[in-house]
Amino acid sequence: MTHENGLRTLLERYLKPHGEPPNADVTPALERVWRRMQPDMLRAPARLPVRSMSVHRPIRVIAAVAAAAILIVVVASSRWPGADSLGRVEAADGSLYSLAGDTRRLLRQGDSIGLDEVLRSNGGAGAMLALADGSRVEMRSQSELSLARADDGVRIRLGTGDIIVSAAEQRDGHLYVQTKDMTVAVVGTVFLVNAAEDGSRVAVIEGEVRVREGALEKRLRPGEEVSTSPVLAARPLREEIAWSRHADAHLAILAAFEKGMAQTAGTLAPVAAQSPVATNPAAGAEFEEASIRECDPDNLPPPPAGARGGGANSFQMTPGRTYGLCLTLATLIRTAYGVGPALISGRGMRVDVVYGLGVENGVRVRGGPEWVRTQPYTIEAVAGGPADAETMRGPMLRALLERRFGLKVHVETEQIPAVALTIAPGGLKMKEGTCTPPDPSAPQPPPGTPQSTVDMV
Amino acid sequence: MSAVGVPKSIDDVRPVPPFAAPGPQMSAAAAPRAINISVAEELEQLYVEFAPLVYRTAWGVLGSREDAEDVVQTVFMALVRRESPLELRNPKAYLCKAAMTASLNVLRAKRRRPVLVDDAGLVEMPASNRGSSFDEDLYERLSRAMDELSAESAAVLLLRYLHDKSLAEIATELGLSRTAVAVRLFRSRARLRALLHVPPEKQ
Repeated sequence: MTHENGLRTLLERYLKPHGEPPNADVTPALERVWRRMQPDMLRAPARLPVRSMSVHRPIRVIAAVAAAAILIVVVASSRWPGADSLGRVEAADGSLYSLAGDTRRLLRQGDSIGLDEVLRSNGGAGAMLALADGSRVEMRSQSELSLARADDGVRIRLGTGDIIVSAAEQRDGHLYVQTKDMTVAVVGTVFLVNAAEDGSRVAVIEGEVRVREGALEKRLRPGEEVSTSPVLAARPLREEIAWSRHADAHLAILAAFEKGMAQTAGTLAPVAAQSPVATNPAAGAEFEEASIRECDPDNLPPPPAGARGGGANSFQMTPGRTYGLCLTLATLIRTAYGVGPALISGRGMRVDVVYGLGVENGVRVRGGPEWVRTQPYTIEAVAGGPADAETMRGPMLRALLERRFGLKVHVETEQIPAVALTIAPGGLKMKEGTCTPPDPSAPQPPPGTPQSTVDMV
Repeated sequence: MSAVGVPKSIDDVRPVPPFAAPGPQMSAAAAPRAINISVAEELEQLYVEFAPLVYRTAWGVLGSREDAEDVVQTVFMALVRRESPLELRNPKAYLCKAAMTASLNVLRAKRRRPVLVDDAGLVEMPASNRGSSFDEDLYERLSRAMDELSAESAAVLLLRYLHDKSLAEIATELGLSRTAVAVRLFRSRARLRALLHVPPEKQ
């Protein structure tokens, strides 16, 4: 017992020095984490089998050996279907059928979905489909659709019912949803489509979509919708997505967006030029929730839906949310204090733009241990109250770093040699070019084309 | 770096031997089961059931709500983001060890932040709040030793000594027989002593 007590003491001292958390804190903490995980979870599961091009399905085999029952778990693999298949059934709660003429075939989890195969969900909570491009389609009960190939992607033909599409970032094309009177084109977003007898409706939950109705085209942002049916348009969006398995996550995204929009409404005047080190107009403002984790470069999350770029060293804000992906503390400090190359112009940062921040190399943030410039962190923070982009990027990010890293800084202004670009005495030798200005209505460049702001250090 | 604090392959989670199949003393709910993590609903089930354990483990190591929340997120998102689905024969054992490993990783990162006394520097970081009697070398060896234990062995050890569970409770929670728990605990202690290079009489 002496040895056991000694080991207990050792483990308690080194592995449980803080004892137990307050019981009242546990449930709220876990609820916060669950909410934070939702956006990633919406995108992640469908990517798993796509990336590995195989799915593993557990099969339980019960064998009687020498009068003893032994449970054996066998891992079998099934490949993604062939060229004529565009996806598979990820979950079917109730009855999902493949219709061909007068016959219907019951589909189960893991079954492939063929080209132009008509699917109908008849009961339960509907069905979840995983497309080969990583997108997920949630079908409400009593919905009918088929999948077809488009010139530059996949086309979902929604005959009737409701679907919620979590579109994966498309590498070189689009995902289309077509009803009898509308076509929706996306590259990575979450949206709802209703198709009914008297018309269709499209509502965006996250990201941005293009909706074409006849010759008219419109872009929709989160919370916005268009409808060709007054009956459908009258239904509140929140009620229309309540049937989804991920309704809580969708509602949370919408709420965050609405909160941000409420704050920005009426305050869209140009941001006044500020000194590189901004004053603190929002002193006391803090993020309500924040996650700071060491970056895992092998498991980088995808950029937020609708955003291009992303990846390590990227920084993005959406209304009410701030994301920093694999940024060193020095880079975060530089950003929070407004002295980075992306901020030196004084224009500030905007929401829904992915900024490549580069890596602070010790020029602007000096001193500190080496890990400040080498260890990357991933940050996700949610504002509890009204917060525009510059408030989140500045005072709120500073408060977060002070609280979580115990950061203390002092700021100095230095005179440093610089080069001025001026017009020569002989006048400007540049001539007006003949290039044609880009057509804003022209097709978007393929996903992956760098469009984010890049530091030029 | 792969998923922080989570064993890299299913090989890290030792299978339950045949003699540990559910016996009459175990409830069906407590029995080990295979879970396909690629199904979101099953992840939610795992979260509801085991996230409190992960949180409490992390809080005990780190003493911070925010850090403990990050550990919970790290552990469960590592499951979601795996390249291939993961079969968990014993989810509680797996997550118990994953929670401790992820927590120690966070603590290790925090302890890498030394006091900065640099007049020329602009960044000033806090010192570790450990007492002066804290044996850094022993702590490092303990962290490495935890890494080397299998999930079930680590879980038995942690549930026994950090969560103050009886052998019978551990047996029920991990779906093992009480004898199996006792054997694993004995072997885990011996293994830990060996990995720590600490003679038994000095403990």
